[in-house]
Amino acid sequence: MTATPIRLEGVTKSFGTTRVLETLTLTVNPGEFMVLLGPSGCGKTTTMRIVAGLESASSGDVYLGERRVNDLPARERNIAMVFQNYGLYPHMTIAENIGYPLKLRGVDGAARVEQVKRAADRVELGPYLERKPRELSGGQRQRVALARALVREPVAFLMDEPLSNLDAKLRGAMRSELKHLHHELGTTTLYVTHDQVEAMTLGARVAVMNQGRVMQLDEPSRVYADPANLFVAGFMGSPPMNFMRGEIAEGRFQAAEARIAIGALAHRGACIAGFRPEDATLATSGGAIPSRVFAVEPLGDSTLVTLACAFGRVVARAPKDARFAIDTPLTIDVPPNRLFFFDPTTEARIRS
Amino acid sequence: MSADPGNRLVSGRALETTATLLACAVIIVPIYWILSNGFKSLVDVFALKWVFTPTLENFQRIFAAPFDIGQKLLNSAIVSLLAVAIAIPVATLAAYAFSRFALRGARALVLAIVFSQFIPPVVIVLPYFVLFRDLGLYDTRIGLALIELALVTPFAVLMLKSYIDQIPREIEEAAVMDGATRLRIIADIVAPLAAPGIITAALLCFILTWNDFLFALILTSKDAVTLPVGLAMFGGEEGVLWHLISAGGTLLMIPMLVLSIRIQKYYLEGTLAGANK
Repeated sequence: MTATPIRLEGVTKSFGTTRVLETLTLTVNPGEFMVLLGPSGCGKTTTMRIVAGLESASSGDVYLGERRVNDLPARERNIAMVFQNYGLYPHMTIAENIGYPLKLRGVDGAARVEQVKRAADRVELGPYLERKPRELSGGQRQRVALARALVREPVAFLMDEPLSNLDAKLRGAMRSELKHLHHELGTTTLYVTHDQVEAMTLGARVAVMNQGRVMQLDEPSRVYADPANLFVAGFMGSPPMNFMRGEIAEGRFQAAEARIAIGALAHRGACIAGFRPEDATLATSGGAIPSRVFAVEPLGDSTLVTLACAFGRVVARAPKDARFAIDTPLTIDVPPNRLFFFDPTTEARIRS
Repeated sequence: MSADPGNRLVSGRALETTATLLACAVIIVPIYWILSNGFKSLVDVFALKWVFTPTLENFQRIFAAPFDIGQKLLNSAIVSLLAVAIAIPVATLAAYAFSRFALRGARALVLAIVFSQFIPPVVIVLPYFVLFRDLGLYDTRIGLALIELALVTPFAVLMLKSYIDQIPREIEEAAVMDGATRLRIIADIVAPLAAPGIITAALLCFILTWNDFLFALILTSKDAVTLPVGLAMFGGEEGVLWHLISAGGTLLMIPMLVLSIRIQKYYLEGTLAGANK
């Protein structure tokens, strides 16, 4: 089976007078696992539902492969979707649930039984085929939804926060299973989540969305290491990037009493500087940013230190055995190449 | 100082039990009286006897001329079944539309349906009488079934809408993605999930139609007379024939007793558990 690309061209969506998608252009390459990541209300689920055909675009075109599908009903698009609440049919057995897409396609008798069994075995549901959904655990129900999606050969998978109802441990396990499944099947997949860990681990590329726009579309590592704007920088990472509002003058960034040496930068005047917690170095004196310890949170593998500075609080990631008393004066240093600068009005990244 | 809480609980429970038994007695004794009178001779009925020799003679008499209760039983059954057989599929589709589609004026329509339930039947029965006489539907089973249909369908729509409202849309969307058409979704997903509601609505519609007196009284005269109306005609030169009325009443009640037990079962049964999460 050859994988099918998904292409959105200039798609907008409004509900009444509310604009939820602004001229979205996006291509999911054949066989690619793309994640739409963003806070709730950013338009990621709407984007997916437009691809599915459950919503129609207010303007713009949707393509599956070479075919424009704007006017193709959802049921004829041959896209499989996994829903947040699984969308299982409670009155049918697991076998009937998984076999329903086949039943609708006229696959009968032994062929259907065989294909249902193969799909069920793939997600380790073999022993549960005669049960009803309510007799299964959350994780098992999730697998039923997956099996139902892969029992036929769809042109694409759409997954709408499929792991968000599972507990943390199960979520981790299912994440690796999804990744393995995608590796085996090679089907084009669009995956919606607000969980950046899922986005980082699953996606070949991540589209970070906010307020109906794609803020950055890139490989996960680059979205983290090289954010295009203030939103992406602040959204990716846990704890998030620290920001300081100040200005650049005489080769230094100044915010309150903080004075940080920066590299070659043509920009002058007001700007927002940011650094990640793991890029900060703490010292008892001599650093660029004076501060006091506000809180210390040992995480086991590292220690998070929240520091109160004149311009606000920042978080630094210190070694796992670092311990400070509250109110200890400390200074923070950040290497010039680990500083990010953003325009305070456009919020765009300042790179030069 | 405190009263023994256990003791107070016991006396409270005793009071509760007494009240419940009393309430049951108020409801059950008349039903028992009718049922038992159906098996008594006329003399025993007026003697208000608790102990009597049961007889089936009353039933033999009402099935024979001039009462012909069999014909009326058949009329009742045909009219009720016909009304339910049409009302339920129509109401299911209408309820689905009200529940799922953004129809222009849907609110006004639902309101109109609710309103129709509050119109006193006495007000509309006379225009129907004139209409039926002119259309040749007077004293026909089809005609009566049509009227009963018009009476029970709005009720069934309202009832089914509330059941369908509870079915998560995500289940239907999953079926759309699996490739199902709208009608397939209604048949494969919505109807089975709303089954307790559909069955309850069907039973209640049957009961409403079966028990209807007013419309059957005004719109029939001979051929299409139903059981409740037939019973009312049991008065004669010999006075009110209580033993025969009771036998007819027993026939009228038995299907209702059976149905009420079924209704209870479906009313309490929820099949939606496990749809989500």
